Amino acid sequence: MTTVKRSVRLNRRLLTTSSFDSGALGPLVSLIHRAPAPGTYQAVVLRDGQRAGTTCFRVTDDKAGTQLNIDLASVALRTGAATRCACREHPESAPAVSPQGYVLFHVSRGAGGYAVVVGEAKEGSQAVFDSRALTDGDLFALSFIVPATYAVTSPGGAGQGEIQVAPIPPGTNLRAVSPVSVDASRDGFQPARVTVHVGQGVAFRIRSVTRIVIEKRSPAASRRAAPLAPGARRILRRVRVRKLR
Amino acid sequence: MPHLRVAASEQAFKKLFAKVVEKFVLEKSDSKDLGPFTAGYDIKIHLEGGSVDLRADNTVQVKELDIKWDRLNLSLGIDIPGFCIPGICLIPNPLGGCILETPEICLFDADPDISIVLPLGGLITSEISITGRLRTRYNVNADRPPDMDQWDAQLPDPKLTNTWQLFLDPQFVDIDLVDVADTVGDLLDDAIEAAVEALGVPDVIAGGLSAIVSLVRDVLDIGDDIQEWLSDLLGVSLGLENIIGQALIEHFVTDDPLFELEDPYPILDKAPNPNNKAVQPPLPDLVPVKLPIRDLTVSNNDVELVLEGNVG
Amino acid sequence: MAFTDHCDVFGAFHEDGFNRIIGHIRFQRPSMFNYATQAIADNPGLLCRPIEAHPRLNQHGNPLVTIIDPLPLPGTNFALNFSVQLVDVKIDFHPSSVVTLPAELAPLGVQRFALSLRVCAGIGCPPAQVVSDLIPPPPDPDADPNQPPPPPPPQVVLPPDQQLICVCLDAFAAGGLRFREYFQHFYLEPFIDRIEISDIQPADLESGIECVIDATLRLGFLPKLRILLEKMALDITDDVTISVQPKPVAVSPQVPNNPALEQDEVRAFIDLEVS
Repeated sequence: MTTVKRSVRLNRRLLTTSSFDSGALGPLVSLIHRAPAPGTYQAVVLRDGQRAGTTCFRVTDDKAGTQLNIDLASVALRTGAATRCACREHPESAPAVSPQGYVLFHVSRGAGGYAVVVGEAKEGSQAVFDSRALTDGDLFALSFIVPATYAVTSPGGAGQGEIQVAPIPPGTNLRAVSPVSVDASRDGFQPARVTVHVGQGVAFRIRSVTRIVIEKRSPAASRRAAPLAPGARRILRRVRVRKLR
Repeated sequence: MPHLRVAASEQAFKKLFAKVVEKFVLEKSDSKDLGPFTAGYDIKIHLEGGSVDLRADNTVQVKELDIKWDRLNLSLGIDIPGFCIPGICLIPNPLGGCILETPEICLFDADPDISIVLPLGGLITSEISITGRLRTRYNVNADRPPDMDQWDAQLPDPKLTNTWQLFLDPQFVDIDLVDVADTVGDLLDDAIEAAVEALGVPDVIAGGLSAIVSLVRDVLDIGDDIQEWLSDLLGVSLGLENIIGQALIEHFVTDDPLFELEDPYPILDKAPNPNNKAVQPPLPDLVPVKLPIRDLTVSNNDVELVLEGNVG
Repeated sequence: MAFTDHCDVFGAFHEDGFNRIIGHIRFQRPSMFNYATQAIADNPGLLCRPIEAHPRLNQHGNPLVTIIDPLPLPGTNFALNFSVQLVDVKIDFHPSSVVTLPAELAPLGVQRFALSLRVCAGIGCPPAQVVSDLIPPPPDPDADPNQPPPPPPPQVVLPPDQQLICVCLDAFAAGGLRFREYFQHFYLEPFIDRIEISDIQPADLESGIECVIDATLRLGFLPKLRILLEKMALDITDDVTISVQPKPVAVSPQVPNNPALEQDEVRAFIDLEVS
């Protein structure tokens, strides 16, 4: 007999997402771009092609870290329809990153379909980064939760790849597992076929491709947890109890 | 020379002993916080079998008395970490840590709790051995009013008479965990998986399921040897063996003597009043003749127990 | 050698304990040892020997004395009050050490007990004047011979004088113990081989009194001393077996006597169907 206290929410979308698209970001993926030149930047978040929100950040030498995370879902939830970017009035309040650092875009909740366009926070500025068209040096990283075989493609490119995701081996310490790196170029994926397990990261280094799409092809064979050691053995354990005085 | 002496053969003694053993039933439940998880038990046991031996050194030994687990439910309350996939370290820092790392992804928004109840009765085999001495003790009935005479004391139910008691005074009780059935491993495995599935992890996500099951086993610190884990949990962590042992000692010493003798002891039963007349209503019966018993002691050798005492 | 080598349960009473048991029976059931007519029972101060009894007996409606019919005077409708009391009862199991038997009974045989007791009898002799007043007149010579005779007058118990005329005799008996079954229960019951009282003359008087005492003991007193077999084992047999009555072990070369009267003890060897 088992019972579960329903005091928690399972993020089912993590388990049901079967495709990952660098041009339509969703859960489990991260898109990393090198920090642009020092300045104040506005990031416009799009969802299914529609403007969903904006945020801004600074690139500066002044006590800034090497990594800035921007959660596209939070930006969309927070601001809703397009608003004036507050950092035009208060640029010092925007989060900052070092010019040697990286900006990481991810989606913490929801179905996905996000894109982001980054440009300087001033009228008429050009986009310096558009997640729908990746540039060399960008990184597209993800972890798989569902064991299956996944096909990797790059629209417009010749490459076809495959990722086989196995269940987590018992006793694996996920924190000690290194990710697998794949180079994505116009000539294809290198290596074209990789094998990882659930929770192990795959990082695509972008070289002359603009988009990466990963889709689940077939589930892995369902496997129950490994059985415990077979064979009964006689346990001789003696506890001696004395009368309490 | 004692005024009276009664000896009972070892066979007769075994019957006395068996009656007291038959009456032993222990029902208890409790739980304990063991840190990463809570464990609880709900047990009901009785005893069967065993061999009883009177020994030449004035002790009694009972061997291999079976504990029959009418109920042994083990409950486990596990607070499992919310199964998070750590971030991917994209650029390691040669000095340690990561320069560039993706965010952690958690399956649950908080730590879920699961409860498992395992019915283990019939899967655990345990035996008890007892070594003790026979002793007598005079029991003054605390409920008897001080001015109540020996005949009025026998009227209520239960009687309010004082008694001499013969009881087994255990010096120690050994509880042996003899066997844990093979199927306990499967039972626990199935229970954990069912509990984890009940969290809403889809059946197809076998990998996620196995990861969480593995996590639960880690929390419980099961390892490879399920029998040893269970033995330690029941015995060491929950202290079941100690609880059973103390209850059995209490049963023999306090609750159920092997033999009880009313004092004063009725040597002649009541009799009709000799002055009854045919055509008149009967007169009160003659009261039983009762003997005060003093200095009752017990000893045994390897073939019999001997009670000796005096008439007061 | 163990007590239970040839039985399941063994019980033994030493003669010292048995004499204490008799003492407790006298104290708690005095009516077994004291017999008197109603007039004497109503006035126990008249008795030859005072009765020592448990102080709570009266509250439980237990008498001190068994009421007996008065002694009828032959040829009259009158009767006398009288009492009989058994006092100083002692028992001595083989070998004899407590009771010194008279020559007619000594030496005490093996597997036998010696019993000594004192029998005190009291006669309630009425005062002379009462007797004088009650002398019946002759029949009326002038009565009609055809008249039916008058019915016999009711018995009149003559009141005793201020004290009974008491006489006490020492009596001795040699006897044994046996197990007998009644209603599927076994009892330890005493029996008498022979009685002797202290010498009185003429010899036939002594014999007559011995006969009375002998019959009284066998028919009245001793049957009331039967002890249930279980009581010899302090009822431990009740706890050892549920549905089977305990019974004495059959006599055999290993158990030549059961009960055994030896070494100042009475011993019982008891069988149970212990499986």
